[in-house]
Amino acid sequence: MKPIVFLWLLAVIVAAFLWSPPASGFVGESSRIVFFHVPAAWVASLAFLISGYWSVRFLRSRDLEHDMKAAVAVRQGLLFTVIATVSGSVFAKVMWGAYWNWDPRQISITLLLFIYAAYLVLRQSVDDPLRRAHLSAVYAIFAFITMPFFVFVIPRLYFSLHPDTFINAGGKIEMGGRILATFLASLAGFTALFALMYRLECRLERLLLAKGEHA
Amino acid sequence: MNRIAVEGVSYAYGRHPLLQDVRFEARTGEVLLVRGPNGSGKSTLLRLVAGLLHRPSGRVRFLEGDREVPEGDLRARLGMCAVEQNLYDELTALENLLFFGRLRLGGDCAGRAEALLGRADLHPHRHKPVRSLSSGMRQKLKLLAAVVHAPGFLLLDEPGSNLDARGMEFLAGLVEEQKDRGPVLLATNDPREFGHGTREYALAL
Amino acid sequence: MARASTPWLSEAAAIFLKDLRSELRTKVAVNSIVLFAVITLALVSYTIGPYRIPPAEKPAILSALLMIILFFASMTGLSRVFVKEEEARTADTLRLAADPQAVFLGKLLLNLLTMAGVTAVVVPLFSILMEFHPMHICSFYGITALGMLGLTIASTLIAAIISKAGNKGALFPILAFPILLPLLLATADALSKAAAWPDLSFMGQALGILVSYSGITFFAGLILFEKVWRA
Repeated sequence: MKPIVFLWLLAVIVAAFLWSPPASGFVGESSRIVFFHVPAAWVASLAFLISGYWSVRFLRSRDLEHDMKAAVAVRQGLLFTVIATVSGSVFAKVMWGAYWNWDPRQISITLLLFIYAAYLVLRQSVDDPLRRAHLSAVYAIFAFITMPFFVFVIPRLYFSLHPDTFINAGGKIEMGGRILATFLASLAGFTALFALMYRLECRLERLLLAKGEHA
Repeated sequence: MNRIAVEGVSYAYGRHPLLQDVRFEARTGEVLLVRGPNGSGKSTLLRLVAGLLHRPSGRVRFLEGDREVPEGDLRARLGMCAVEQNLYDELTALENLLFFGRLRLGGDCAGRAEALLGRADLHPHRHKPVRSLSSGMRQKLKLLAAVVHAPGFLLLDEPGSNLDARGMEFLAGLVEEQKDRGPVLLATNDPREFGHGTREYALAL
Repeated sequence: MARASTPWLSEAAAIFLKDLRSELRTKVAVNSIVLFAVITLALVSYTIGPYRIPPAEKPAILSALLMIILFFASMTGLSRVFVKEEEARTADTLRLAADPQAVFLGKLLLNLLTMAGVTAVVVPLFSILMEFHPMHICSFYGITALGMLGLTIASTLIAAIISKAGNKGALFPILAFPILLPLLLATADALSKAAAWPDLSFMGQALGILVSYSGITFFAGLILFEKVWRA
């Protein structure tokens, strides 16, 4: 599985820079960021969803394994959120002249950063594993529940420069053949990479957990 | 006939196992002494029985006859007095008893509260804030708060701490009366309290 | 067979009255929030004052400042309802005696009363010091009240979480911020419109957001609280 994903991503990188043409309407080659920025943002949101799912599961089962899966999702989500934020800022600088534009999407992703960071600080502040698991699960779920307000409120307060996502408001696919193919391949590649990393870290955590119990 | 059945309860602090497969049963008329050296897990065991700590394994059942008391009803049936469970400092002795009585019984228990205060020689102090009571008086008040609702099950963790000879007599009377209502678990290392026990469960380090 | 216990509304009232009595005897929470708010308010008026802001910018800037003051002030006192129980070691005594939902409701009621008092002092004072005279005064105060309602509900659940963690003081605003951000932004926006807009056409959407935020966090809090309380 691992070599396939690596080869796939290698092919995506080559295609993103050499095979796919730059999209019209963007400065220079800047449109190529879409192949890395959007998949990273997608994985960041996916990780948030997964942490919410395992948090609910934990509250039902009180199984520390479920708590561990939620925490790993948050840690990796944070990584991908940072990648999406930084790559987005670079694109914003090239395209609009400033790293930070107070775009609704930029603000939304910082909220995700704040939630992830708060979640991890909370975990560090509790020693007892069961108590830590309960508190962080409740916090993740509560953050998840209030998130829709943010998604609703922000676009009404800030004006957006952000390009439409690849399916625009009219439901029409905006991308040309090669761009679309590369983009979808990258999306699949990033998701697979995340799945790989996620399973790897869960395995590691499981070993640490077992060591802690039997040592 | 009330029974507390502890079935295979274990507990560990991190990687240090503290209690392993604890099993016992106590019934009405019995005062089960839980003994063991410091750090053997007496307080933890009582907290596990009361449900103040999540039980990672095993279970605890509270039975009235053959009927198991549902978790939600337990607060009206169970009383507990332990070192780390304080009353409200800025409220008076009587206010504390009325508050806990109201939560657990739903009604006003002023009559019973006043009578209990009298038995513990605390009646003259009933309008003083708990903060201003001596440690012995506070201990007696904690014991009263644990039985204000005449619970069917009672857990006592070092109930004699800070009590003088007269306080110990009061405690003896309280335990004697309570064991007719239901089982009492009494965790202690104080030889003055051993006499209350009808049976013993020893914890080792 | 004895009836289990009280209906939880009257139990919540008993817990509320118990906390109110403690609070009236010590007045720690109200005093600390009001003082903190007044200090921030003084800082804002000394450094900015009413005349350095161009009149056209006043509604937006002052509404935002008001929200910031109320947010940080609330963070100094709203956690006390739970932190005090843990620190005075009364939490276990209460846990054994009370229904969790009644605890949440009782604590929430006290926090609501506290914030109502704080708002009643701070907002008029802010209006006077900053020469902030909203166009639609009733809508302005109504929005403030609804905003504080949502803030208090969400903060009460967060307060329960941090009371069981270490490093409580710093943790409270860190955890509360991402949860409260949409509410604070929506309230500040609605306040600035109540201050300056010619009509009240914005009210429908503002009320929709604020009321649904309070409603959803209230029910989520009621359900999730037990997991925190017993953690």
